[in-house]
Amino acid sequence: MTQTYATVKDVTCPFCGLLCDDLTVQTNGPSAKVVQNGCAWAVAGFAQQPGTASASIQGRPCTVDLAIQRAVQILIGANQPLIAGLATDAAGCRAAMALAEKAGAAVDHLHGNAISSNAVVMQRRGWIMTTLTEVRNRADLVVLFGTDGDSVNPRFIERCLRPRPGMGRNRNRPRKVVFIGEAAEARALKRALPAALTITCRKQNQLDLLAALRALANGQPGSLPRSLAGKLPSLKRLAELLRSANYSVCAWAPGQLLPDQADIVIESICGLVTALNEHTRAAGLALGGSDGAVTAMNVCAWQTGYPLRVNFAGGAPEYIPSRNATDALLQRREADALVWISTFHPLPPPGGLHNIPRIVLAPPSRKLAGLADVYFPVSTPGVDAGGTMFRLDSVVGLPLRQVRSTSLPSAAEILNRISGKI
Amino acid sequence: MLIKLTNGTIFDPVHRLDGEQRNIFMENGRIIRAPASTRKIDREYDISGHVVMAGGIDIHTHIGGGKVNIARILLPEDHQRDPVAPSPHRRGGSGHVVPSTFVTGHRYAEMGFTACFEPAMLPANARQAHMEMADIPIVDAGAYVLMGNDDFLLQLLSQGADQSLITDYVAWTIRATQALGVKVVNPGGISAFKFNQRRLDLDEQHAVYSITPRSILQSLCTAVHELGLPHPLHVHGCNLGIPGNDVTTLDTIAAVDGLRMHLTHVQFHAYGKEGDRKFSSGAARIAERINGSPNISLDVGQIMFGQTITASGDTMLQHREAKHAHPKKTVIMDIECDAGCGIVPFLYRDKNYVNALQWCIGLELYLLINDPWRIFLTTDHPNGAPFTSYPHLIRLLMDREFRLEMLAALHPAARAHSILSSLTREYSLYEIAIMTRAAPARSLGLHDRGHLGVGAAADVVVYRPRKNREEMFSRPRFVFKDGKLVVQDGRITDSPAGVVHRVTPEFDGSIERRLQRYFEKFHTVRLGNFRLGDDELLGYGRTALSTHPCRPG
Repeated sequence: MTQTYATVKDVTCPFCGLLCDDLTVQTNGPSAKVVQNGCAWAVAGFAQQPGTASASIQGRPCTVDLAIQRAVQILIGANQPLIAGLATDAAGCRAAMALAEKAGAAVDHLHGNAISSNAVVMQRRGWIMTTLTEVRNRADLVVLFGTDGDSVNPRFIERCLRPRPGMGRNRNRPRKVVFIGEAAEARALKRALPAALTITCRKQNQLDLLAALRALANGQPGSLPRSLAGKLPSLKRLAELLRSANYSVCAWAPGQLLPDQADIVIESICGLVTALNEHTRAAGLALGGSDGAVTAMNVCAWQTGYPLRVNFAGGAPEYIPSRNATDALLQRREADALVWISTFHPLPPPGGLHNIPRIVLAPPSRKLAGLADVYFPVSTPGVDAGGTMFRLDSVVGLPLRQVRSTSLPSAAEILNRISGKI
Repeated sequence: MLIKLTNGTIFDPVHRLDGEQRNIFMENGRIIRAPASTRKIDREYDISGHVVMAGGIDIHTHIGGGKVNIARILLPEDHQRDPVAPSPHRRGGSGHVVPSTFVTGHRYAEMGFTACFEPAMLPANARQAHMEMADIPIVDAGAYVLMGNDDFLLQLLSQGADQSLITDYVAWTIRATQALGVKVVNPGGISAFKFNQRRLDLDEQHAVYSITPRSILQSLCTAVHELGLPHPLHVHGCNLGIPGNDVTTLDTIAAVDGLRMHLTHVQFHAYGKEGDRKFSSGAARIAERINGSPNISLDVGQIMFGQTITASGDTMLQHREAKHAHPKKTVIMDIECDAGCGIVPFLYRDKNYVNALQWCIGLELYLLINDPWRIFLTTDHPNGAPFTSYPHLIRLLMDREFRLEMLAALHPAARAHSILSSLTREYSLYEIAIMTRAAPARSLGLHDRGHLGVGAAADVVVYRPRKNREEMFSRPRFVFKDGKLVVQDGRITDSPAGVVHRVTPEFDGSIERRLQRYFEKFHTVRLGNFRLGDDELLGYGRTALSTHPCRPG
């Protein structure tokens, strides 16, 4: 808790899946400002005004006790509550899981589609993966599939690709970066880093290119539909780079792939990585993981055995990802109450709700208070309160700090109080 | 609350009680002396004829941390066959080969186990490991931190750094990750795999750092010795699963030159390469050596037939095993210039020669190693089998007739290649109490656990005596954790949080300056944020940290 002007170093930023923990933040009572190592997301995130909204029921301010009473009534009366958004820290996720179990709710995350695209590939075939410190120090070749990196994790290039590899055979050798994807993303990447090779293609052609690349990497002749045939020489060059690299990393961002083929693209990339490992070393890296996605996935997995999209309606957690997706439950009108948790930004709950009651936990926002049936202003982990989150590589947990003083309760506190009354 | 257990038959090897009838009194979570006759007993349990032991202690079980969670995510089909609905006093989840956290704690408690130790906590993943374990109710927990493949240590060794520096670094790592001990997995091999080496024998050179597994092992063993940690270096050696690794195991024992060392899941490291199939039992040779080496302790890592999943830090050998995955999927990860993990689902089949012989080799080790104070009951959960198979394993050890019956169903060639049918030993209840309670507590330095003496934590298990030991050990009549009744006749009656066991060895703080430079140059996490503090750990929901003394030598 800081009441006066102070400079805090090594602050963890909770605003994307990288969880950069080298920020310097100036704090002054209820406000905080990033003064070093902040990307645009971090600067904006820490600068969000804490506000002073109170809890409300249907837009009318009320005590937190009263709002909790109303939330409990709603959840007890519901047949299929849905806890979604789930953008919070580990403590918030644990509290959300406990509430889900008590209320017989389904659980999903804001980035449920992206998490699910990765998870189903892992569950179908497994994968060979790496983590950020390995990429930074070991990788002599990084292939970005359908992402420029920075648009999902703004300091990925600065922290992991721009430094020269630090260890082993690749020490101080320049790192090659290859991009495959849309021309606009290629231009964005070019501003951050020179690519050794750029292969532009539309998202809907990614699978064709991957199929050809896998064949070439296996030493077979790759083939492409006539409209893409011009890409073949570049793919041959990439296959050569992959085969001759000491440690290549193939990165993707599931949320930037076409939703209806994301899992197949990821599966294809993972297949390429597996094949490369017959002779040399290669690994995958899933970018994104923002808004607590990786934290929520891990907490749900250790508490239930499943990586989100579980449903406690029948008592024991049931894992049917397609059925328990936020969109599916809402569109089929199966969900009849929504608990929406969005502690990093005051994001509104998904639109098109057919008048189901909405319980919203988010930073102070008059707009959200007006949208919600029951609204709880809550603290932002890593800004207003301490906590723990997991990084996009799903290995490293980082401590969050409180860097400004507010009197807001945490999402965990509110959720636990609701659970206690069900 | 003053509790009296009346007329139990006590098996407490620490106090040499081998089936003696005694009363036990508990108050405020501790075992106390018989109180004055004027004091009112709040609750008395007449347990005449029942067997009483301290709570069970599992010295090697993969219960928390990244690879365990990957294993959970990887097998939804397994969880779906074992759903667990919440009920009063217990949260729900799912079970079988890698149960979810709440189910893990409850199933351990239901078998009378009250403390479990995660043997492979990666420093980079310590937060997650501790947080997962904090969601395992009832049982105490603790972890051994994985070292010996981290680039910082390998760089130090390759530069010929002083042992004192290595020892400081080991102590720093233990403190930073809130560990109870230190484990090495395939020394140097996980790192070598990152540089595309596919095998690394005890005296083979790491391709980049030009050091050998032997030197890593010796250095870590010395560090643990110098710091005076209660638990010796916990060693998963080179060449896991490779026929002929019995020789590696013998060489590994010789390499530490009389220093204390714990060899883990030795079953996977006891394979000869004799016979037509080039796969034979090395158990007899290893047992003979261990019987003559009082500095060595071990756990077995018994396999059981059926579906399981193997989760290991040993990426090098798990990548080799991927071709045997069942179902066909494998996760391999290189992690943070720190270590790695490999997860391979596996189906052990009794009609498969290799699997059948693995089963025999494990049991041969149990039966050929004489001193139950140095051999601990494990299946290397979930690698050999899920921990829920312990009662079955206990019956195999205690009941020769049953053992022979099981043996008769195996692949005939495996039977012919094993001496198991000739081994007549049957473990006694006293020996089971040693290997599952007294001995692991002693090895880990848990002075107030693993026995029933005055002052001990009131972790007490009451079993109905049954000729069928599997039934007996599956379903205790009562289980008390820190004096609270947590299980009665297989039903969870309470779900308190356990404590975290750890050590806090001293070290020369100047190592932090070197680490600071290393972190700034290479790492993606700041040194200060890497460390897991006491308040943070307690904030996960732990009741207390139990710190055990080190005795620097």
